[in-house]
Amino acid sequence: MASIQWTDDFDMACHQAGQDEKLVLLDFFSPT
Amino acid sequence: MSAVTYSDAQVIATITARFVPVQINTQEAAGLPLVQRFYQVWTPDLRVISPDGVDLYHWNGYLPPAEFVPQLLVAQAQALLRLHDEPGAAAVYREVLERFPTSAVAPEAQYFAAVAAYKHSHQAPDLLDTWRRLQTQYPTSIWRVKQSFTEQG
Repeated sequence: MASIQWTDDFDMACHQAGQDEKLVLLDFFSPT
Repeated sequence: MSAVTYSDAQVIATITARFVPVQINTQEAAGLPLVQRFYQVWTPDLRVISPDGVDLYHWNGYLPPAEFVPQLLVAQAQALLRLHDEPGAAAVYREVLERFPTSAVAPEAQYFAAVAAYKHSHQAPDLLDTWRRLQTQYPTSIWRVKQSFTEQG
């Protein structure tokens, strides 16, 4: 089954979003 | 979020097709610079960010898949509107209204679908006629109230 391919590299994600004409989805979470 | 919402096929497909997804653990030191930069205080905290790093839409709190997907689309549409892609924003707002007309964010989509159409056409009926649907489709919504000055007289 597919899953979401999260990254923790915000700057890389912004660069990728610009290249792919996408937006960044930023999820702040706390594991509990 | 990960156990239910992020395991849902429609959520996975929506995020993958439209976003580059970033997760930051707020309990780790490595996440502190972004926590401080975005004044983050409570989780779950979801943000739609432009490629140049600007927060264009955000919300807090757990949502099940049936509400998360339309919320995600409204966030994308608002981001496109703020980036002055009015036709793109209008299309995504219409998608919310067609696919998720009973979702919690549908009234917001109805309100801004009108704004996006008007900002593109500069034709008053695009704004007022679409806002009028709030009166019939979502009469108790705060978004109906926000256009209620048009109902005077």
